Amino acid sequence: MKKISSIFLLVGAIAFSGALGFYLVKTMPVQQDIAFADNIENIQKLQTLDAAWSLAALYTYSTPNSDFDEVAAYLPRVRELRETLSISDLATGDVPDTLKNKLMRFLLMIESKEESIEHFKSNFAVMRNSLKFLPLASRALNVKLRKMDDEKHAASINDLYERTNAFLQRPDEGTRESLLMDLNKKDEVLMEFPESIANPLGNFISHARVLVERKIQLDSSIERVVNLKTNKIGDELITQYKAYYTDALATQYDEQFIHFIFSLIAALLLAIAAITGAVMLFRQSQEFTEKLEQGIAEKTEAYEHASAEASGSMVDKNLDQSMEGMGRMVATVAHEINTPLGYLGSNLQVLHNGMEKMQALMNEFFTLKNDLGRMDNSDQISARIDNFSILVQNTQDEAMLDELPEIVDDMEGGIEQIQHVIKDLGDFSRKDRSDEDWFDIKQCVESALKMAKKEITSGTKVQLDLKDVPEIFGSPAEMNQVLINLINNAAHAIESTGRTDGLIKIRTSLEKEQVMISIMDNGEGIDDETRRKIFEPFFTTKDVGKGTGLGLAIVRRIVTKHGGKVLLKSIPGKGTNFVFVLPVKKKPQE
Amino acid sequence: MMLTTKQIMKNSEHFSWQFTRNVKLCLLGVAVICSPQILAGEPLLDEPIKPIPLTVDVDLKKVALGRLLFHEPRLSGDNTVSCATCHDLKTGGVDRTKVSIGIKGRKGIINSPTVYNSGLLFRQFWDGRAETLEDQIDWPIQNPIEMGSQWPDVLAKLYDDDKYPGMFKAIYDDGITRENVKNAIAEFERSLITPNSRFDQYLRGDENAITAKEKRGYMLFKRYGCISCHQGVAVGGNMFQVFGAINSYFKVRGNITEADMGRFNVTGNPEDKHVFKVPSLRMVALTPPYLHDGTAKTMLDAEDVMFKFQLGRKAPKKDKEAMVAFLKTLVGEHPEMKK
Repeated sequence: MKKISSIFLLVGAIAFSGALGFYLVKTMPVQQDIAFADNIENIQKLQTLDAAWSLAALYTYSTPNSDFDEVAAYLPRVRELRETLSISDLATGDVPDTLKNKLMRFLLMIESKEESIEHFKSNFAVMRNSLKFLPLASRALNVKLRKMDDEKHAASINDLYERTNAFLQRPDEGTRESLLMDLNKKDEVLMEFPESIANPLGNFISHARVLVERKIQLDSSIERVVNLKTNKIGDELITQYKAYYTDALATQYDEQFIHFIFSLIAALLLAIAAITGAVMLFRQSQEFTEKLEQGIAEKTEAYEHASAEASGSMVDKNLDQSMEGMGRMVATVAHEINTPLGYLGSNLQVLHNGMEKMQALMNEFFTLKNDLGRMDNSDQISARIDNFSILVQNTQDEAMLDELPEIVDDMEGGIEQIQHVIKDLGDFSRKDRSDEDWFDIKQCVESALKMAKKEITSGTKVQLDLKDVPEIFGSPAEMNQVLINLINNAAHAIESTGRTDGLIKIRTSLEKEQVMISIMDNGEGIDDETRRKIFEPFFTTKDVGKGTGLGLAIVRRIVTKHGGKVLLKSIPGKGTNFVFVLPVKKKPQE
Repeated sequence: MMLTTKQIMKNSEHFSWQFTRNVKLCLLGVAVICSPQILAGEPLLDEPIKPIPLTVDVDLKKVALGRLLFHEPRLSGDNTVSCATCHDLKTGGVDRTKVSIGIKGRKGIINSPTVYNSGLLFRQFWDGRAETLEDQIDWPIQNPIEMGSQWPDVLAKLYDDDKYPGMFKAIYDDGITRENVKNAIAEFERSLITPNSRFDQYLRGDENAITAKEKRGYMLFKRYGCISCHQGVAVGGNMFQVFGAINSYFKVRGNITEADMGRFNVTGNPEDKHVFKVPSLRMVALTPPYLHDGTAKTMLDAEDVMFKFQLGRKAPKKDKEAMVAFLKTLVGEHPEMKK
C-alpha cells in the first residue's frame, strides 16, 4: 500500500517537475531579447542615417555642379527602417503608452525631416538660379538705362539690387517687408517704361522678389535639416526603452521566482509523504535553480553588451554634434563662394576651348596667306578660300563665338558675387586681427550691434547709453568680436525666455581711469553652477548649432590680452550683466 | 585608370542598392558594346548629370511575369485596359495624348508620364504620393477612370488563368496575392532603364558622341539654370518644384483643377501648392505632349513655358533649338523600344 502510494507520488512529482521545467523554458524571454536588440539597433541606424542625410543635403548646398541623387537615395532606406519600427513590438506590443508615444514622436520627426529636405531642395534650386541671374539682370538694365540717359531709374535699380544683396547677407523681417513693398511699387509702374526696359525690368523684379521671399524659407528649411532634434529624441527613446526593459525583466524574474518557491513548497509537501519523490523533486529543482541562475547571467551579459554598444554610439554622435555647428558655417561660406566659382570654372573651360579653336584658325590663316602668295591658279585659290570659310564657320560654332560675350558677362557676375562675400567677411575683420591701433569703443559697439542684429528678436529693445570715453589702444577687430559675442549671448538669453519685452542695455563710461563697458539683458540669467564653467572653452548651454561653446572663452582671452577684466553678475530668471573694463593708456603726443 | 573604373562602378552601384535582387540582367549586352567607349577618353565625373547604369539587378523570373501582367487587360474592370494601354513601350512608354483614356472611354485628369526609368525616380506620380513602384500600382488599378478594378476581382481572374497560378507559385511561396502582383509588375518596371544614350556615351568619355550643336545645347541647359532641377541620373525625378517658381503659371492659364494643386493634395501644406515632382527628361524626345496638363505640344513649347514661368528670363529661338537638340541625345536604349 505504502509502496503503491509512494510510486504514485513519485510519478506525480515527476509530472509536476516536468510541468515546472516546461513552464520555465516557455517563459525564458529569448525572443523578446532579440526583438529588444533589434529595436535598439534600428533606432540607432535611423539616427545615424538621419545625421548622414543632413550632411548629404549640406554637401549639395556647398558643392558646385551637385545633383540630388545622393540625398534622394536616403529615402528608401529611411522608409524601410521607419516601417520596420512602426510595426515592431515597441509600437504595437505590450509596452507602456509613454514609450509608444515617444517612438511615434521619433518617427513623426523623421517624417517631417523628409518634408524639410524636400523644401530645402526646391528652395535651393530656385534661389541658386536667381542668385546667378540677378547681378546679370541688374547690370544689363543699368547699361540700357544709362544709354537712355535715365540716371534716376538706373540709380533706383542699383539701390534695389544693393538692398536685396544686403538682405540676403543679413535677412530680417523688417527689411523684407519694406523691400517687397518697394519691389511691388516698381512692378506697378512697369507699364510706364518702353518695352525694351519693361521686359528685363519685370524679370529683375520677379527674381529679386523670389530671392527675398524664399531666403527666410530656405534658411529655415536648412535650419530644420541640420538641427538634429531627432537625435535627442532617439537617445531619450533608447534610454527609456532600456530602463523599461530592465524593469520588465526584473519583474518577470520576480514572478518566476515566486512560482518557483510556490512549487518548491508544494514539492516539499509531497516529499513529506514520499521521500523518494521528494529527493527526486529536490534534484530536479536544483537543476532548475542552476538553469535559472544561468539564464539570468546570460541575460545580464547580453543586456550589458547591448547597452555598452548603445552608449558607445552615443559618444560618437555627441562628437558629430560638436562638428555640426562648424560644418554648417563652413558649408554656408563654401556655398556662397563655390556656387559662382562653379560656373566661373565651367565658363573658363568654354573660353579655353574657344581660344584653342581660334588659335588653330589663326594658324590656318597664316598658312593660307603664305600659300596664296605662291599660287596663280584661281580655281585652286578659290577652293582654298572656300575651305577656309567653312573652317571659319565651324570655328564659329565650335568655339561658341556667339556665346562668348554672355559667358564673360556671367563670369563678371560670378566675380561680383564672390566680392560681395569677401567684402562681408572683410567687414567682420576690418583689419588684420593682430593689427593694433587707437580706436573709439563707441564705434565698436555700434558696428558690433549691426552685425549682431540678426540674432536679436523683433520684440527686443536695445538701449544705448554711450558716454564719451578716451580711445583704447588694441585690436578693434578683436574688440568687435568681444562685443558681438556678448550681444549675441544677451539676445539668446532673451530668446530662450520667449518674452516679447526683451531689453538689452549697453553702456560705456569712464570709471577710475578705466573704460567700462556693460551689457545687460533681462533674459533667463545664469545659475551658479553654470557661472563657474562659463568661461571654459567648449562649454555651452545652447542647443546644438547655436553656439560653439567658444564665445565667452574668446571674450576672456581677448579682454585679458588687452589688460582688462571681465565681470559677471546674474540672477537666474531675471537677467545677466556682463561688464568688462579696459585700462586707459596715455596716447603718445603726435 | 583604376580610379576611373572605380568611379564608374561607384556610379552604377549608386542606384543598384535599390535593387536587392539576385540576378543581374545585362540589358542587350549593352555593357559589351560600351566597354571600348568607356576606355576611349576621360569620363566626365563632375557633371550634374550622371549616366544611367548599364545594368540593373532584377529577378528575371519576376520580370518575365511582370511583363505579362503589364500587358494584361484583365487587370482592369472590363478587361479592356492594361498598363501598356497608356504606357506603350514602343512609343516611349506613353500614349502621346494630352490625358489618357481609361475604361469606358473615361478621360484622365493629368498627363501620363513615361514608365521608362521610373525605377530611378525618388517617388511616383506627379505629386509624389506613392513612395515606391509597388505602392504606385494600387492607384491606376483601382481608379474608376483608369482601370476601374477591385483587387479581389483581379486576383480571381488571375487564378482562373492557365499560366498565372504556376508562374506565381514558382516565384512566390504564397502564390497569387495583391502584394505579389504589385511586386512582379514593379520588378518589370525596374528593368525598364534606358542606358547608353549618346549623351551618356559623351559623359563616359566619348567626346564625339554628340555634335557641337548638342554640346552647345547642354551648355545652355546649364547656363540658363534648367540644370538646377533637371539633374542627376534621370535628369530630374529626384526632387519637387513649384510650377510657377518665378511667375505664376496658373494665374495665366486659369481654370485651376484639383490636379493642378499638386503635392498640396498629399501634404495639405500651403507651401506645397502647385508643387510637382520634377519630371525626368531622359525620354522627353519621345513623349509629347508635355507638362502635367499636357498643354505643350512640342519640346520648344515646353521650353517656352519653362523659360517664362520657371526661369523668368528670355532666350533666343536659336538657343532653345540647341537645347532641344541636346535633349534628344538623352534617349537611351531598351529592347522593348524596338519590339
